[in-house]
Amino acid sequence: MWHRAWIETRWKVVLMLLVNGLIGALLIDDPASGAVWRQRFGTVLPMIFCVNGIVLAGSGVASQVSQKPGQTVHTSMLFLLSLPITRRRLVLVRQATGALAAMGVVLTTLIGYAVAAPELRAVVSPGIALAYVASVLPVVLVAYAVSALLATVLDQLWQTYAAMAVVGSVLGGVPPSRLWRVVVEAVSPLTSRQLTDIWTTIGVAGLVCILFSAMLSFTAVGVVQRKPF
Amino acid sequence: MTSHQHTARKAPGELHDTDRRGALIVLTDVYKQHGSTTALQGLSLTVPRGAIFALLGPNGCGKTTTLKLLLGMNRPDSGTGTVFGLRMEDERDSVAIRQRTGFVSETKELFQGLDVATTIRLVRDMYPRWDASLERELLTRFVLPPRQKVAALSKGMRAKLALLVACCRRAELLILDEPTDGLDPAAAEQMMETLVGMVAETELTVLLSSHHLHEVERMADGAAIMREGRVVLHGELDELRQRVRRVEVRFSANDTSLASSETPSVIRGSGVPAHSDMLSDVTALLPDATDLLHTVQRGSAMTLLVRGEAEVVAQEFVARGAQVSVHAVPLRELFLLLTEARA
Repeated sequence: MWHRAWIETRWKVVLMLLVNGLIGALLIDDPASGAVWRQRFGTVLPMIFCVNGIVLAGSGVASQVSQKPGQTVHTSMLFLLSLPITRRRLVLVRQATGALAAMGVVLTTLIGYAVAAPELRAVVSPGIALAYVASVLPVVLVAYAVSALLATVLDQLWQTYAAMAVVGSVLGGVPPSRLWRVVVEAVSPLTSRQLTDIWTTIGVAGLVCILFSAMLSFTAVGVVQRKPF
Repeated sequence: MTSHQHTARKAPGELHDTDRRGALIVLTDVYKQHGSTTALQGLSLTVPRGAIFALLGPNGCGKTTTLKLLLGMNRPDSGTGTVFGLRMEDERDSVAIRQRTGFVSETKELFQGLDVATTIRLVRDMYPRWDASLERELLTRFVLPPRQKVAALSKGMRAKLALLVACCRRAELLILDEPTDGLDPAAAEQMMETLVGMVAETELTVLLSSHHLHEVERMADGAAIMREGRVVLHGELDELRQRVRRVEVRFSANDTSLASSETPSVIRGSGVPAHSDMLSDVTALLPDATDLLHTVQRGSAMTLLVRGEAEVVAQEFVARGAQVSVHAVPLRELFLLLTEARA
């Protein structure tokens, strides 16, 4: 099932990496403008990563079955459900694959930027880069989980819009999502006190995000288990 | 005036114990509601082991819902069902049922975006009893191109691939929803031949839903005709051919005994209104093993569908002065009589 879930996801991942690469070329086109970089890395890029997560959670259960039970549609869902797998496993494998893919897209994109742009490496220390990644990943995970939950009840188009609305509305307001901006702002060498504070916040916020994502995922499992096909 | 009645002396949920013996699938008094639509209302059904059994019925009568219930895709609102003696409502049992069952959906859907070889490989990995030699044989017989994307296959080719992955897992039960629907005659013929061959060679049981009555007559051992979410007739095809008869009753033009009855009475034991005292009298005299399945009344003529001692029914009407003829009933006619819209 992991293999199948990955095969279903792989082209989306490849497409996202290509798009993120193009976006990176635009983001890092001006080595002199460190302030612009901070602004872009603090707002634009996390939003793009969240959109990646939201899209990766698409083609969920609701978009693969008719909203009217008994009506026949051309999808692989009935075939999947006829296999000897519990729905819980089916959904969890799919969600885990998608979540890993979303995080893989984030990591690969950022590593790609760092490799392709030596000027970026010159400005951002490995510690800051690590803190940036650690602060972005849990939020992307939540964006993915929100979208995956919505995918159990909405078709792909509505699910994407709804997830973007939900995630977009909270990104600016919730402390964990502001974290990467703090990290991005802190390009100058940090004191050990600042570093400890940042990592403590990242740890707590990350844990909250992971628990919240897990809760959303198990809610999605519950929805699918009760869903008639 | 025309009236249509569907009658059965057994209550809808009632099954003889002999029906259940050796049964692979047993559904008892199953109800299922989809929103405001009642899909199944008191469905009872048994499917014997090692048989090709067909579910027949008009669109929306609950065939696909029944198949989905058996596979655990839906849960019944009430009633019970077992497959291989395992409870279909129980999630763990349902996984065990699917481990031993192959399914081909009406749309012949498979994994999207994969090629034939990858599809086979992914399904093969889930079934430890996968029959690799049968896979090779069917790949050759069906001429399936391994590198072709499933989405690019014709419906006929997709049906063959779906049948291949259903059969090669060494399933004990195949559930096929309209297996030959949308296929050209050659592809449908090949599919039927494969199924019949597999049933003959193995202990395979096949439950299929179909609109193609000529195919069902050719290949099925038994059938259940469904209407409005319940089974209105159920049995082995040979038994139905031998024991179900259409009895045509004609009264003389001045005999008003049929048309004069304005207030329907009820046929004894069937819960079905009788429009004449004479019909009521006759049905009261039906032998135990005889069911009156259906009546159509047109003026001074009446058509009865009788399962069992049709001659006895005929004699009763003859004794009352009617002209009577008894006819064999092809499956197609049986289907049409039992599923036609209620007047």
